[in-house]
Amino acid sequence: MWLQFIELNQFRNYKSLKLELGDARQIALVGFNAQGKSNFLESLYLLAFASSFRTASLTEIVQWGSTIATVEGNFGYKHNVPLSLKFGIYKNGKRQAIVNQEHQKRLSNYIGHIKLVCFTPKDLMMLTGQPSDRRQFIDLLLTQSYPRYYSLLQNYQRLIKQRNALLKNLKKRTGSQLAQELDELDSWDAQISQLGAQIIKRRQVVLTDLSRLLHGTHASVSLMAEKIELIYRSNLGEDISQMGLSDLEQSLAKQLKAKKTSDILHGHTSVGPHRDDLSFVLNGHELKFFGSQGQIRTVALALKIAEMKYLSDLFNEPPILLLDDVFSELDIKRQQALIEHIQQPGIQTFLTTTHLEGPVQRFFNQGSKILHVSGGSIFQ
Amino acid sequence: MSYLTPPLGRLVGAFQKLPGIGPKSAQRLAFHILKQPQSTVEELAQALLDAKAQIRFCSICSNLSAQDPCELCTHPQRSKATICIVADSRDVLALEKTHEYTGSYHVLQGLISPMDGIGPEQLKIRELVQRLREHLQADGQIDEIIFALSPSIEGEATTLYLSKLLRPMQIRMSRIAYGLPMGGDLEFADEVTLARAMEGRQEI
Ligand SMILES: [Zn+2]
Repeated sequence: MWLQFIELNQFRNYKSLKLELGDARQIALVGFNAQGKSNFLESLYLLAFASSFRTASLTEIVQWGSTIATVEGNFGYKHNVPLSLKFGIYKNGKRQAIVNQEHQKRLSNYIGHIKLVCFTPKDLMMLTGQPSDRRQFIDLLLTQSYPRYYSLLQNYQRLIKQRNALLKNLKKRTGSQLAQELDELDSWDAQISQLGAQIIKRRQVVLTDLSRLLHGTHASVSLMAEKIELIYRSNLGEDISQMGLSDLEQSLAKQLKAKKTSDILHGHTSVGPHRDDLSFVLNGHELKFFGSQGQIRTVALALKIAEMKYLSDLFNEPPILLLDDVFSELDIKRQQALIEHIQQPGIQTFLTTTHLEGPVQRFFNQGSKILHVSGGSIFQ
Repeated sequence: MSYLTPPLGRLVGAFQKLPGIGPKSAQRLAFHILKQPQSTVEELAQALLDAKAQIRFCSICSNLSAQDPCELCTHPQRSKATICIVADSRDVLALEKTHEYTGSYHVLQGLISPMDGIGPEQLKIRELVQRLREHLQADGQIDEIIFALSPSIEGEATTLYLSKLLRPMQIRMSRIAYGLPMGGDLEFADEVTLARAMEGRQEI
């Protein structure tokens, strides 16, 4: 899919922007720092996922003195009817989500229409960062792949919050009230096992496919005979690779029960997919402990390319690609590898850079757009 | 905000405390009230006071009512042998509008939600157990308990909790089928709703 037209209002340093892109597939946003290049990519990310890759507090996106920041886009599809989305953030934190002129009450009915892969310098850190960064990566991919995953995850997270609140009560209880609340705990655990098992299964299935793709993309980026594996690390304490949904549900129920006493003591839930992790294993060694800087960058790059391939295969159409200042982070060899992969027809790429130089220059040909960004305005 | 003369400020403030009323709506309501004739305003004030003074929980079903037992519990045609469990008095209204149900109700006045400090103790659960026990001891028959709680995780937790609590009484228990909302998009219905809708499928 590709973006044909975008309009921003009161969005960070864009007071009002209307940009017609037509059928352009390669779009470079060139300009000095703090002129609005990343803001532009952020607006597209927000339109797709109703969240930002830069901040948790969305209200800071709203321009000072305005009540609402909006981003609106029209998208083209290879085999489908055109799609138009609009997303707004009010100063008071409320949100507005519109799909084809229809207001959506639930974000679960909004997120997932746009397939998008975003690559920022932060993604180079994801592999060695916190487990929550890696869970966020896989959850975002699943949200785009299966429309129901978002509400599944939301319900699961709410169950964990409810259970943790109850655990904190339980610590203070004795006698008949303790017995009553332990019964109550069972009714939360039953649901956590059911939804948790579905999340683990979904993640596992998508990681199996992604691991296979990563194997190929990694070979083409590293040009070396190295073996990369992407493995789901569950904290259920047994091998889950062959387990079906009902086995997973039982296993999770068993673990919740086994950890009950210590969970009550600590006031939080210690097992379940909210504590799981992904691990990248290069030539049999855990990358985050034994990988060199260069190896980690290569895997991070190969992973993003694999993510693109995964979405392309699943939907029979390439996703939109956002590259936020990543070329400066890659050496010439890796820059060339990335360009080779994104040069395939159909992929719409937005990239930001301070100077168009090196291998990336050759990427821009007839039909591509080089836009100059300065002080919240964009010039062709 | 601009200056409001004290009684008007108090009225706006009072409206603003109501659920779903922001500062602008509160002002609009307050100015609307001032434009009304004296009798209309008195009627409204009296209605508020009467409702608060006269409405209590029914001692049988815990529904809100001015008489005790309530109109539904004393209705001769309503079956006492079928009890439908709902979270809120508004759910009784919704079910009554369908004219499909002729049994009685029990209103929990909420759902279990530890985050909001609501456990079984805060709900009308003790009243329900008491009611069932007394009914059975008086040789009354209970044919069925129907759970009609919202399809949320809190509704599900409350249903699971109650069904376990009541199981020793050996009463038939069921829950209403959850379907897809009319006009809903099948692709975007969540897993749980879809699974339940599949369970509750009907022959055509
Ligand atoms: Zn009653």
